[in-house]
Amino acid sequence: MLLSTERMSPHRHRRRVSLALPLALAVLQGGCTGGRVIASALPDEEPSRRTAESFVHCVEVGTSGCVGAGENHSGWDALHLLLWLASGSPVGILEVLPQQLAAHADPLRVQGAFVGEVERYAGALRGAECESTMSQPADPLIDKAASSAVARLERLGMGRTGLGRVIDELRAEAHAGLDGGHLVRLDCVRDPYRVYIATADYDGRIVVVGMTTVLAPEFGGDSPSRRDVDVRLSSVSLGLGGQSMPIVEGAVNEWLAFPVEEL
Amino acid sequence: MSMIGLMHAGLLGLGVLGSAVLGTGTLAPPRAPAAPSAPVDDGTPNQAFERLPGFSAVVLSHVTRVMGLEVLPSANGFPLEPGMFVTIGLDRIYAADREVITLADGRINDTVAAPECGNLCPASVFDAFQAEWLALAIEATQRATELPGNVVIAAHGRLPVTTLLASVYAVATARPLRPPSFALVLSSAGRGLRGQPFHVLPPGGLRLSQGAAALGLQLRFGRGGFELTAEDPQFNRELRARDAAGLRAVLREVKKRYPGKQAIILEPDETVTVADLVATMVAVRAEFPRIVLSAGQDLVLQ
Repeated sequence: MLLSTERMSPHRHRRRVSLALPLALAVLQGGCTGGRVIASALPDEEPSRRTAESFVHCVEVGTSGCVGAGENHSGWDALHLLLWLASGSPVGILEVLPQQLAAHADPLRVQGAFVGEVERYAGALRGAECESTMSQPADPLIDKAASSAVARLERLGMGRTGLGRVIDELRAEAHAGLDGGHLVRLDCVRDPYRVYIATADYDGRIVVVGMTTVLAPEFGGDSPSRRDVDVRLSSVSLGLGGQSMPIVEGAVNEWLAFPVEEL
Repeated sequence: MSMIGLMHAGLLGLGVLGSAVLGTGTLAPPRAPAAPSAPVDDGTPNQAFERLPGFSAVVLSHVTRVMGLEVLPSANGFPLEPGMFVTIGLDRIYAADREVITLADGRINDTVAAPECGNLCPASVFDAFQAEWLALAIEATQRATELPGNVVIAAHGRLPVTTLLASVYAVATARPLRPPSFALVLSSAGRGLRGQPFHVLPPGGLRLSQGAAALGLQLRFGRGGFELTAEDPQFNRELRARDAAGLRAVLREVKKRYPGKQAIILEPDETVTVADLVATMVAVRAEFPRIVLSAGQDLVLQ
């Protein structure tokens, strides 16, 4: 399965031209086309969007095998951490930031997290009918996420904990891994409704290095509709659908979780 | 090791915060919390909670910035447990630091009720908090954390209690799996922010069998004073009080007759503000520390 889209090198371009020339001559010999333009079978989106769509198609078919083992995913992971610091829940940041930074320092865990995210949504993506609708360059997004994270953590009183240096490092790492890359948005007819695919450009080879299903509006995402929220909260991907919590023995009910004798 | 790897070691001090109990997680069964006893001003910090100063500091920063600490109801209380935090001023509702609803002098403009919360909350507020829970659920899967089991609400003292109740029911019914635990944020002189835990009556009311041996103590109150009743037919009285001192005296007498009962249902009328509510909570909690708020739903013993 094709997971990367190569820009045509000059050498390959010459080879294609040399192959195309006899074909073109044959067509001319057969008759005039009358100026008709023959549409290419390839989609005309930019390479990052084509690569993102190829990746989603791969996931629909084969799940985690679509993640390239040798690719560097830490650039995306750094950006994803910045986006989290800029828009994630303060309680989540307080609770697991140290563990998340530890995981970020381990390339295998970074790749494992990406594989985990892909596997989580593989079932949902099958039949979700996702199509790329836009892409944004990673470079300005990285800078915006970093500056938003700094400002937000300052507002929340978390700015004096040394996080400023962490953000600087994440920003540098994100630029190193994602410069020239894009964040492609795919809109889907069904759950998960939005998929954001991060691509990087490695010497002209466009590869997928990350994925998420949520992006805050200030970074180019959008607020989900009521229907989307309803469906997603009950989806298998989040592990919440179909579960019901056991009521504590002796409690009044799930709203009043204390012994009924106290009422 | 990358610089980030080295830095995270320096930030492991935050791991103390990370040991916070975030209430019941996504899969862990809920536990019936012990009935809170009335807070005592003994000057001894509760070590179990003081390991989490980071969360209180974040709430403090946010509340100070968006509405000021001086508008919070003032009382002693319990240490704040980490969780989703909601701030309700007179002009806005925030989920954490994100503005989700605009208010007009503390009132919600939306008149369309959401059936999901038994028509006790406006649809726009329900939708906003359901989207918030979705974001938290996605974060929980991505960051290997848990869906918060607690909701901490910092509300302006002059906020109509009807707005508080509408918000509480929206937050509670929008949460997947089960309703969260709640605490109101209090400003406690010399002790920073504290919390007053409370429950809410289910949106559809509550029906219990006579065999449950419930008393069903209910306090209706407003500008006109306090009226205490109970669903248990043997109670067979309507006790009244005009002020907090009178209410305390009445509750002491009831407690003597029903020493095993810990819960009281508070049903404020539309004249009540959050500051009034907190004053009533403080008056009742010495005898009945399990505080349950109601928007007027039925409690029936049958």
